[in-house]
Amino acid sequence: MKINPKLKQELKSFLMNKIQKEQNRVTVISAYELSADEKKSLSGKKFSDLNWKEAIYQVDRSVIAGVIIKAGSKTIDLSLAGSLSKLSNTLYEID
Amino acid sequence: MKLIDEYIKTLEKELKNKPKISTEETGIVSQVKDGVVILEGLDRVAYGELIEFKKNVLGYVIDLTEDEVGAIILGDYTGIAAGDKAKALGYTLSVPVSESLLGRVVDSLGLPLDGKAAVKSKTLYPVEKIAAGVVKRQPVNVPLQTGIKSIDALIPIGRGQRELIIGDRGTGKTTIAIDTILNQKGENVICIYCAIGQKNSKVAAIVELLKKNWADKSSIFVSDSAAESVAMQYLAPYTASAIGEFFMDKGQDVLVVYDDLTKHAWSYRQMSLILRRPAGREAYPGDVFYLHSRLLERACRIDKKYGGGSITALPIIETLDGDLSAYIPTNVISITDGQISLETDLFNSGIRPAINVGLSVSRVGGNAQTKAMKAVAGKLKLDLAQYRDLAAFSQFESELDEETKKFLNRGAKVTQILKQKKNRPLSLAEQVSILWAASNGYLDKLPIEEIEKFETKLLETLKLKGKKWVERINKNKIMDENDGKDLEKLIKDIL
Repeated sequence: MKINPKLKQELKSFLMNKIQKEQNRVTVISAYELSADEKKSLSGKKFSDLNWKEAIYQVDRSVIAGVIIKAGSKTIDLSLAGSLSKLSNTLYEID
Repeated sequence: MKLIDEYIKTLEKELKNKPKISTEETGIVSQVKDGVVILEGLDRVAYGELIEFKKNVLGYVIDLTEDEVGAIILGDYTGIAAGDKAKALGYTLSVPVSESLLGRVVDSLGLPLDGKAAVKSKTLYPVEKIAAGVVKRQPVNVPLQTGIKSIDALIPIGRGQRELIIGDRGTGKTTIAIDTILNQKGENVICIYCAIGQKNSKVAAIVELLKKNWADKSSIFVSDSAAESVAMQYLAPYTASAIGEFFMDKGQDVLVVYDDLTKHAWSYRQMSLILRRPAGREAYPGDVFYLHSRLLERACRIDKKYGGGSITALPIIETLDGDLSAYIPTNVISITDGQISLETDLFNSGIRPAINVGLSVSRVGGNAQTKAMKAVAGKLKLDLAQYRDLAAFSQFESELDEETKKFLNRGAKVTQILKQKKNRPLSLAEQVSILWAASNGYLDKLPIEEIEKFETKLLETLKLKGKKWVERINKNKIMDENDGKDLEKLIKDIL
């Protein structure tokens, strides 16, 4: 089957665009609905190697405080829940 | 109070470190199977990487598909539930290694099983490692004395060799390996006994036996019993090999016994079937050959230029009904540098160790045999071969000529002299003296029942009158004419 090369090119650029968007988008999980100010202070900030522009905001009470930023399988844990679990691991290791 | 101080100190240290913002590779458990977990996410995880679940349980990535990751769980997998978070740690599985491992019993993660303190070490060795290359190696040329007459004479083993011990259950496979470990006392060889899927009682008995013979100070036990998860059993021989490599890199000679690789193949088969890998012959996965070849290839003798040292491997395989042509036995036979084949019939007829001399070979050990042993073994081999040929057809002939009778008599005596009690390894000089007596015809006139008595008497005489002779042979490892004459005198005294 022959495909119109122009069509092929367009499909390719459309998909690339979509992937690009997906890569620029992260999920921000917090314990409560973030205020506009808080969202502003977070957005566009560069955390280690994660570069992002858009964000989806989610609420999860188990985070307790702080935020968790997720992009695909990459995660930046800046939450109290994460710190507490790290602490409990440290205590366990001393034993 | 001390413990609390320690707690506070560590916590202070933790708190002083400013929280680092770092990305983590995370995933979510989607399926939990017998010792194997399937995860989603973890897009950038590597094969062999460690994964951390909650409560510090670790996993080891062994399967990467398009959108899933399969990991085996090291330790207790019952606490892990679907939906749990998992974090990739970014490094591969390693075990702590140090001199303090000597005399210890550890599992495949290096955790103590003997109730003593954890093994403290700053050095970590990777569990999976590519074996030394061609350039670094040196051919086998130093003997590893097993202390067993029939092996040292007919199927000699050299340091750096891989010699398979194969036979049905209850034919004395482990006994040969343990006797070899016992004989390394004072030989400066580090012995590692790796039990895979064995009974805990068996391992405890072996530890006890070695302790009784003061051989535990140079031995290490790696054990993952039948009660452990298959993942742990699968890792045990690689861990034993990693510990061996630590000592080899220091230029020491190491002996590793893998008891046994049949159970290791079973554990790998179980894991592979749970991971839904295509099953091949006997339901083993396609890479079951590589499973053992990459393990046994790590046994080697390193050239002096690169620090010397060696790992000798004694893998054990259990057959069913003496079937050497089953899948795993043929695989391991082809990988190793020879095999010691044990048979139930021989064992039951009282020939112990029940070695079938016809089926047993050592492909490289001949170069490593000592000159003293070579001098007596050559004739012995010929005597035995002729005996085997004649014994088969002489059963039908009633009248035999003198020559044949002589061969049959000699063969029967040699077979008798190769018997040896378990856990009673003999030194080189002791072995040479007995075999010399047999191959030079001093036993031809003795009735078969008297041979054992003769052997005990000879060993006693060597201890009392022949001390110098024994020392000379053990030191020089050569037997010349004078040595022969001296020995002849001693033997004639007994007869």
